[in-house]
Amino acid sequence: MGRYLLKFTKEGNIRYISHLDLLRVFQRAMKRAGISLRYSQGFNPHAKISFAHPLSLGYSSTGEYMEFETTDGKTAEAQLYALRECMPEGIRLLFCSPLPETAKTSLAAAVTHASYVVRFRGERSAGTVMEKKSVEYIRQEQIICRKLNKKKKEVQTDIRPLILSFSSVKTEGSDAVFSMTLRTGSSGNLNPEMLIRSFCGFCGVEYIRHQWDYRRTEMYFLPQRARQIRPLEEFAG
Amino acid sequence: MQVAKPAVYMGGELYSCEKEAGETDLNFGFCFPDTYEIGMSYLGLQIIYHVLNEQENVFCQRFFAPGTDMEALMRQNGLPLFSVEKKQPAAEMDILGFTLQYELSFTNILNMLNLAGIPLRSRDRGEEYPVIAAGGNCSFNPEPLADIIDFFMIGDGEEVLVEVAETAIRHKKEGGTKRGLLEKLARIEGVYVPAFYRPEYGEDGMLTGYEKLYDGAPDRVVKRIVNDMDTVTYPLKPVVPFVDVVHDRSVIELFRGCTRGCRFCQAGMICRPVRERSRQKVVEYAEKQLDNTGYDEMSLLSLSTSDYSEIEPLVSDLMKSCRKREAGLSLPSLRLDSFSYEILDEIQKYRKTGLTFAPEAGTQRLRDIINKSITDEHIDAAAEQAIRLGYQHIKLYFMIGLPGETDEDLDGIAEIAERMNRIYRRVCQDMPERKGRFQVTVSVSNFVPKAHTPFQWAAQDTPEEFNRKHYYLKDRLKRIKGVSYQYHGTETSSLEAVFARGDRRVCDALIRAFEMGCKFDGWTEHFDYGKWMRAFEETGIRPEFYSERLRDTEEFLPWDLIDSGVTKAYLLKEYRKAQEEAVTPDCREGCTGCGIRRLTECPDYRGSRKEQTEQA
Repeated sequence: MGRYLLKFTKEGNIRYISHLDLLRVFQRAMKRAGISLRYSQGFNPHAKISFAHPLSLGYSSTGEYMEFETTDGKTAEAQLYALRECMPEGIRLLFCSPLPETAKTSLAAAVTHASYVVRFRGERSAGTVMEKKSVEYIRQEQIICRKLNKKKKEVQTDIRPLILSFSSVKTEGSDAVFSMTLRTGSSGNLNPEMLIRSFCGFCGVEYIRHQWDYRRTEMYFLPQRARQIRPLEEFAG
Repeated sequence: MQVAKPAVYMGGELYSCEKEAGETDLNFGFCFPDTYEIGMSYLGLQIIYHVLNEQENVFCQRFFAPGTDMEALMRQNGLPLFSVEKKQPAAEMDILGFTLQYELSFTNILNMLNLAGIPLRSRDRGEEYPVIAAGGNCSFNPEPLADIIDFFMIGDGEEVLVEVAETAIRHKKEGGTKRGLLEKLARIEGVYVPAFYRPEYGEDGMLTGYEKLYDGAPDRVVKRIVNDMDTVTYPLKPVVPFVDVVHDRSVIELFRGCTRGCRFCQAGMICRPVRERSRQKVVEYAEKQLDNTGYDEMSLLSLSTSDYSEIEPLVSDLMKSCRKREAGLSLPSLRLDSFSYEILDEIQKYRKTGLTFAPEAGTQRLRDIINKSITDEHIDAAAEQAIRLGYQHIKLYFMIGLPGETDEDLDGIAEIAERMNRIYRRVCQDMPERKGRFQVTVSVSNFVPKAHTPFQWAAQDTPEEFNRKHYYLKDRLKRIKGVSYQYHGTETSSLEAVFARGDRRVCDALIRAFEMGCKFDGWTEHFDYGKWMRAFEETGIRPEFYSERLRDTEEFLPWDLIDSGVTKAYLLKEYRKAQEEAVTPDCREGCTGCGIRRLTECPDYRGSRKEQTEQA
């Protein structure tokens, strides 16, 4: 028996596969690697494998996390080594560590924040406007967005409390790049696309999805009795 | 995202072939005339892809029909049809090979050629364009596509594809015209080059025969048969899609062919004789495929799983192999006998959702006509066993419009559905703990007469008659508690019938319909019958001539040029027997003389196969 935490990337073409597709990719890779996953008991047994937080279709990531349980007790290094051979291009396994089986919460319940780097590949002039207005944007006390609620009714919501940080990043390339850390998980969640839409509206720039590249860079949790969020890597202790 | 499911265009799947496009002698484009999700569920694709890429000097890439959203984007940006592997334009291939599984995908072939920037008709394609090939079940009546496809491969593909590839490579090296290549290909057994045959019509417009235009072409094209399923190559590393496709699992082909002789069934006639893969090979392949892919489900493919000569020991072997790998085993097309219930009970321990039976017709008389050897007693006993095992939902498949059908046969369908309810109530009396809603689904499809079957001369019902029967059944069935009724659109079935038995003249209508925007005709949301009717009208084709006309048995049929192994005399004998409501036994009980033995040997069923292997 073993429970593990795994950090990995999702880059290149593979970012076009969905969350469920990715789950299947991992399950099959584990079978090929000879890793025997634990299954839940009951009428519909499912493998004990889950991601910290789903990544939207088309986003790349250098900071994805998942946890899994096996029926063997191999070392985390052995699991990582076996699994690496079986992953498709674009998924690099960065880190694997044992999770204490006593850890009560799942990764999905623990995650509180995620950071993103978002690149604008549209016109330079629009990029310049947005770079200039980013400070003004985040200084607002309230940022009201419209969104559809569960009953498909349009409601207004203030996203400002869900933004930990948002800033323009100076880069060598000509694209405008923005960095942000946002609340993520069941107790409060903001999708970066919603922020960017609102930011575009603020800057008077039309939002065109394919002009924007989204990359998740890290996920965080709040350790017990701690004041600051820490990367999910440290969840294993 | 600009398109739905972008991953279907991206490639890079596990075991996708990664050769370099310029570094092989032959670039072959395997074209599936429907979407990726459907094509990747098709075993034939995996087999052909494997067979061709196993050849060191051949690179086979996959092409699918893009979704309508993707197509719009491609046309808008001038992007031609491209391969999954290298995003290479289809027009750069040496050969483009289409698989023909379903008549209603024919317009997709035209759309894919058009998207590739390739002229539709063979005669309009110069030396600069790829050679267009086709194979698969629908090529047993190739005529509706004869103006479009340069050559057809009839029958099993594994061997003929390699011969075609070798011939094409040699021809390419020697240099020569496309005509020269087709002349060489026409000499390969199983290859049909339509340009070498000119149809001849009588004064009344009836087809009377073909004039052969090239001496080297055969008088009749004999289908190819792979004789030994144990030595023929099989994909143990099939391409594993990233996205969820229709059948997302490991598959081993158990056997080809069928001995039952149902008179409506084209596959049962054209895939003869039965050739089994040995139990050892099936288990070995299953284990290797599961280990190589990491799939969590394994399935067997054949026309009738239960007819496999060693089915019981095989299933027990496979269950062991699967359990060891935490994979599920799924056994489609099982016949209803006590053994199948034991294994169903075993392999479906948890989920007992629904069970499907196919009586095909409502009365014994009509089942005798179609030679479907299943009785009311079989159906009732099977249903009772299923219900006792815990199944709460039974699905029944029927066909309507079968030759000789009367309203009494439709009543018979309703009676079977009603009996299912009675059986359920009886079981509930024995098992007081049993509760919950019991459901019966009656699913009805419209009979489409197919080439190379005993019903190839039969008339299809008119759309009006189909609709009347649907309403009749709907009315009968709605009075029965817990029964739901599903049926197919009659318009698609009529159209399917035109192309299933069409001659070379229907090609014009096909092209016209495509020009009017018809594509994905098998998809209800895309099918446009009005456009099709206009296309027929403008090209002077009367669709009912092909679908609703009772043919004279003396008539020369468009597909008489193709030898499927089963003789026309045998089909005629079976047609007559159907008219006399006489059954023909399963040919394992004794040869019925279908004609396939002219081409190959049949397994000896008298001494069971098991004994044979023990002797050997």
